[in-house]
Amino acid sequence: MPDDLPSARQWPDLMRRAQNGDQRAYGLVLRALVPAVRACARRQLFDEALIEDVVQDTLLSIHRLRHTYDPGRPLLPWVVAIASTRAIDALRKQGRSRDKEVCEDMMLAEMVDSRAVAAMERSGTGRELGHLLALLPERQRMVVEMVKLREMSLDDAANESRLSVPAIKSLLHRAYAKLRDVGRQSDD
Amino acid sequence: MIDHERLIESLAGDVRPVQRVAPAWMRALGWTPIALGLGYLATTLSHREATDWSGPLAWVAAANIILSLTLGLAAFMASLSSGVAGRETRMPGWAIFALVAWLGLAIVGISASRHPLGAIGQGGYCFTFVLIAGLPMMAIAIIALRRTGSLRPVRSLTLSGIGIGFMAFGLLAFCHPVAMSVVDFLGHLTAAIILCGITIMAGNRAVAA
Repeated sequence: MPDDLPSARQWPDLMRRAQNGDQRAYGLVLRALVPAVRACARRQLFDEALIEDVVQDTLLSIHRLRHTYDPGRPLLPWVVAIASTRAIDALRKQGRSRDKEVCEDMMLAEMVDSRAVAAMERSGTGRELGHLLALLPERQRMVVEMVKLREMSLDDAANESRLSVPAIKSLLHRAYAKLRDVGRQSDD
Repeated sequence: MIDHERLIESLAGDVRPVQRVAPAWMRALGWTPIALGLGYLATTLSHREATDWSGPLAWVAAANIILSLTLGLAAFMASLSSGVAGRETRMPGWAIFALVAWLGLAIVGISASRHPLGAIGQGGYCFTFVLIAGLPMMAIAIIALRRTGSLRPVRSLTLSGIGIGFMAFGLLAFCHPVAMSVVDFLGHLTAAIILCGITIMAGNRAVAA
């Protein structure tokens, strides 16, 4: 309801009445000041959410410092000084939190729990390996799992799979060839 | 866009009559005698030597006291003014002339000394005196600034620190020979700079608005 807002000429008198405890005058002048405070914050900030935070902080500061306003002087310079300070505070706070912000998952995990990095690395490698093995035909995958992941000897793998050792070697050879092709394609 | 209506309603509902702060010059004139009185009392704890008021350079000591206290008051006034949002924090123009005159008196004092350069370690008494006189004044300055809070606490406290330093110089001039060495003078300045630093560190949180 901007039409109901008092004009700038009335602000000092409304603030004087607010200093005397007039709740209605205080509400009116605070509502009237919001656009001015927002405009002031917008000169220093670009983030709309941050601008609205500065408006709120400024309103709270006006409330806390209202005894320092001299009704004989214009209100706007007093408000602008408070709003500018709060905007600078917001920029500093944003800068500090940006310095501390952790963008990478690995760094975040390390800050929370140093052991998590190793777990994440293992899990990442595991995911990649699982993805590669899924590309292999079932028998090749089974042989790779037995010989490379479970570290079985060729004889043991042959016994468990009921295949001959040359068949195991042949399957391994074809699996490696296939994985090499996949690797080359992903590099390209 | 956030609707600030709820916050405004809550603030307006909470509003009570407040006592407006007096102009900075009035507050400075009210607080300065208290600060000087406490500073003087603190210095009675240390050994004091009386200035020779019968000597030919007594006018230098008198002018030094007047200029130091005037500069201290001006800086303290600027500090209290800087605490209020939207106010100018500049020192008055005449303060520059007063500062130049104060430095001129220091040169007169140094040239009157038989050993103008002095020796390292000289001026320990003056250094301690300025610190002892300044510490209670620092507390008063922080209390005075807390009444309004300051949007730029470092600036306000720096001005307060400068004011305290000059007021301590004013008290020192009552019990210091006119003649002094460069080392002695640098000791005074170092003590004032330390006071300024302590004031900023001690009051930064207390006076931030």
